[in-house]
Amino acid sequence: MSESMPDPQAAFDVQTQGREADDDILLSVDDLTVTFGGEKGVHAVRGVSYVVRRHETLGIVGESGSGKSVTSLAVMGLLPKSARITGSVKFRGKELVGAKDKSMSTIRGKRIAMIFQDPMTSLDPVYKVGAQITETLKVHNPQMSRADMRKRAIELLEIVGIPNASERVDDYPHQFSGGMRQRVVIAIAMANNPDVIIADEPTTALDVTVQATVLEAIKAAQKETGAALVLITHDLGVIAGMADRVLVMYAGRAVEIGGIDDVFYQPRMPYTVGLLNSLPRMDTDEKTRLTPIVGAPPSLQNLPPGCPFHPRCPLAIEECTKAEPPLVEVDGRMLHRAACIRSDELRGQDRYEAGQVFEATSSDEVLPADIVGADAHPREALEDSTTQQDGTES
Amino acid sequence: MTSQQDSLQTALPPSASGEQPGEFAGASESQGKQAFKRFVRSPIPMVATVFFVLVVLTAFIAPYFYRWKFNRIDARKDAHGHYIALSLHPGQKGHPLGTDGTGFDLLAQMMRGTQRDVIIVVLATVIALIIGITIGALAGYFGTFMDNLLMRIVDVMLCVPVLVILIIVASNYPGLGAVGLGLLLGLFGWMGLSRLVRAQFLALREREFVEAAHAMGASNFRIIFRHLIPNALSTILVFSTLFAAVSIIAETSLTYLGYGVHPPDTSLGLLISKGVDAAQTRPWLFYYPGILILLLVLAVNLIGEGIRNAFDPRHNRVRD
Amino acid sequence: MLIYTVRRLVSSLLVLLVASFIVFMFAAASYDPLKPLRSRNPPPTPQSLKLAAHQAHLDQPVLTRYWNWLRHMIGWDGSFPFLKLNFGNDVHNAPVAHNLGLRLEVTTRMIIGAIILAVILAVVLGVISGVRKDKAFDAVATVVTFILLALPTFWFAAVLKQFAININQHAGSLVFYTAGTQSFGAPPPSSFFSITGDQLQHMILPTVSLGLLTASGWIRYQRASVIDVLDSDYMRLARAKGVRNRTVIRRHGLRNALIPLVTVMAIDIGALFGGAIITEQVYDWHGMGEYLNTAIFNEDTYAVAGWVMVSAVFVVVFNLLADLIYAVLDPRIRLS
Repeated sequence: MSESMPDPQAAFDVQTQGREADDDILLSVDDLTVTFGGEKGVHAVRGVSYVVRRHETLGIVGESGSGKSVTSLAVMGLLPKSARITGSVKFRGKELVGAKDKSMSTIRGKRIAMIFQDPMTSLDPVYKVGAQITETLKVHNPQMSRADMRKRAIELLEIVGIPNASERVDDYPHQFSGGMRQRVVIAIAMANNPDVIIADEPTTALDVTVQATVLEAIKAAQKETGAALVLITHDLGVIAGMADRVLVMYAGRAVEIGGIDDVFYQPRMPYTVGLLNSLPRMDTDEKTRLTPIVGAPPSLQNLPPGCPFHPRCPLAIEECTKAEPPLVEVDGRMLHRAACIRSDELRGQDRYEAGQVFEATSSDEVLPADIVGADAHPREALEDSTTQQDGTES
Repeated sequence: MTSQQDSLQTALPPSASGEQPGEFAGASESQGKQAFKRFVRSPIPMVATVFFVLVVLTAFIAPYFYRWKFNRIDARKDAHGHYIALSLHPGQKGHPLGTDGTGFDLLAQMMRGTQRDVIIVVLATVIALIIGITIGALAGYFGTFMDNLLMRIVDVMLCVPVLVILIIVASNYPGLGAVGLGLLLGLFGWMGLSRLVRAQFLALREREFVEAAHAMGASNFRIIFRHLIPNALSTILVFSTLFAAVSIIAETSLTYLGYGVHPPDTSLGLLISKGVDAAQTRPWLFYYPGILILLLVLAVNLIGEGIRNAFDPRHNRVRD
Repeated sequence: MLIYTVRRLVSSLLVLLVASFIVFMFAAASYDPLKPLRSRNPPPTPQSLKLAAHQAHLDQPVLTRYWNWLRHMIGWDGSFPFLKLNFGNDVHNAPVAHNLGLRLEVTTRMIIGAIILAVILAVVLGVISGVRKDKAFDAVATVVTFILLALPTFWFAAVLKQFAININQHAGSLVFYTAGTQSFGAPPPSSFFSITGDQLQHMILPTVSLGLLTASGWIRYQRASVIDVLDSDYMRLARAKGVRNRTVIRRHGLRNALIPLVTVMAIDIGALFGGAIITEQVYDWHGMGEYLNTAIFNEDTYAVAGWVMVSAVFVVVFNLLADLIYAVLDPRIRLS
């Protein structure tokens, strides 16, 4: 990747910049906000900007409630009508926010395709798998013959690794396992050679053993179509293996963005540090304790003042409650930015050294209250859809 | 940190009742309270509840203060010795809703009828709940043989239309009365509930908290009562209201066919059954009790809907 | 699929068998078919009583009576044709099966009419309500269905009857037929399966009455089913493929939303049957309801037992049909 990338904020002002590199930009999201339920409602996304370039893989990381999925649904125009969206989403210069269903339909499935989280419910149970693939072919290629569509469907299934594709194309979704269903969904996504594929937590609902096969299928799809990939997940391991750039989201905002090496080895936002350190180390012999971040993500209806992460941040100071820190360049480099007023103090430390600040606030007892949050009632937290919880709920 | 400790207290059950330490209370406590709060805030179900309670209270209390009694005719006669209070239109001669052909005040009869209906419905619902929950719980929790056996019994009972069973049995006991009818409706109405409870239990049985309770040594009985039933609470509550509504209508049907409540006992069903013949000539006898039934059943149904929505609010699900 | 069907069939037969036993025992224990005879004045002689008892098989032990009754009912009485369907004789020594058949045909007419009306209403109104949730149409439909749900069956039937009578009076002619299955002196239908225009006219009010009440529950259920389906992931994926919203609702939403209605119809068939019996009485139809009332009044063991079995078979057959239709519509059932 060339280092002379323009500032994404000015990216779509092609004329003034006049660089050919801008042709590489497929998708540009600028200050996107999404609110549900009016003024006092949930501010799911609060000003997110990013850029997706040709052939690149952008990973979007965050906990449940960070707004990562809602961002992508907004790009595709698939949010419910009650959602209020402001900001700009441009695909190749064409504005998508506020576009009518008719024009969005020409883009969905053809230019931008999406893979959803739960393969068990993503496919219509009453139609054959082949029919669901040819549905997207037919919509965007009305002249294609039935024989050709069927051939293409079988071909797609083979690319994603479904054995006996020519027979399986006539099977129903319930005859496939979860991993295979997800691969069918991937086949559907790549059917029309889209420019961008958005994968929204593609492996979250699957067994660890199956995850690898699905990720392989996504890679195959990317290779076959040459598409850019937006990979949304809370699993840092998945990101590590696939992304070129990483966007870390917290409480509806981007808190760190940079190349994968930058973010993984030189994180500059305490939240990122905490995330990285909650993974077990495989490279040392000594047993080190995991350092989880205490507390839970804030309710998007009741954000704390200033930086939303400060209640859980071991580096928090008085200053942090004053205002929400903007994304600023790290070490003067445009490509790596973090939203923390103390990010300079993390300079020079690798993530494990940096992670030690979390030791002070971590503890061995993980209590239900920790999972649920200090001031949230268990049921309310569930309904605010910020945390997953198993245990005593029905 | 202290606020964390506070919420800790609510997550664990009170150990005062001598339960095993660390055992998680049924999540229903918070769930039930949440649902209750939501119910109270929803306008239509609250109006329905208020209406229903008012009507029932009036039916039980007002007769003490009301001029006419349900079992005493207005025996006033005119100068020629004719009864003056036969088949009076509403509002005539001090009868706000009129009288029937024998001289009974309609409003008094309606209040008495409502009383009897309440008894019938409460009795029927309680019995149906007890039997239905027990059978459903046993079938759903213990599974395999017990489940098969119990569900075959339910199948046999369900293959004949319920009304038919009720007719056949009720016809055998002519002096049934309100209490007997309530018993009967309960004894033959629990089948639907048992299936619902069974389905819930089959699903809940696999959840981790049941395993956890087992691991901590809780007995089956305890698990069923303290954990599974509270979690099936919403289903049970909604069924109760629906069943109550259906029972009111079932009583009218049975009585119309001649197998339910007989005079001298009265019920709303009896009133409208007799009123059918009078529909053309003395419409108040037909329409007033009918509309009362309509409103009562409507109220109960709305309460049921309210409970269902209170437990399972359909927000626009925000996924991220 | 085949095994599934066979299993359901066997299970249904077993259920019917057990039901037949219980019903017959109950009827035999409760009823005394000789009561009208006994209550005659002057009282009958012991010999004539004994003769009557013998004719009514009352001198045989109850289990033998049951066994014989069962055998004859399914046509296994050693004589051909196999399915002669002998339900025994009623207190007037007329064959139960014959009369029951006639009555069943009458009641079934009403039930089928009501089902057709209810299905149409449920699908149309339920789907529109679900798609336009919380808008004007939905609000009005909800109010109407809730009111319908709260109506006692015969009360509503009587209200409709009054309404029709009023219209007839104003119009000065018989716009609606309010009583009976056909006009007095009208020619009967030419065969068992045909139906005359006159009969159809007589069917309007009862069918509408029963159909509307049944529809109310089905509309609510269909609406809920549509709302559920509209919210599901596969709808979203279809849109993500580039399919227009309207097409997605039509192609993916409808098919999935209509399937559960079959289950509800099966569950409700018992209530429909009961509702038909009641509606018959309001409109003076000589159907199953009247027959049962008479049979109970006469303490007629064979008539009552036969009647109950017919209604049970009706319900069971309908449930089996619903299961089959469901399996046809939903590949998950068909191919597991």
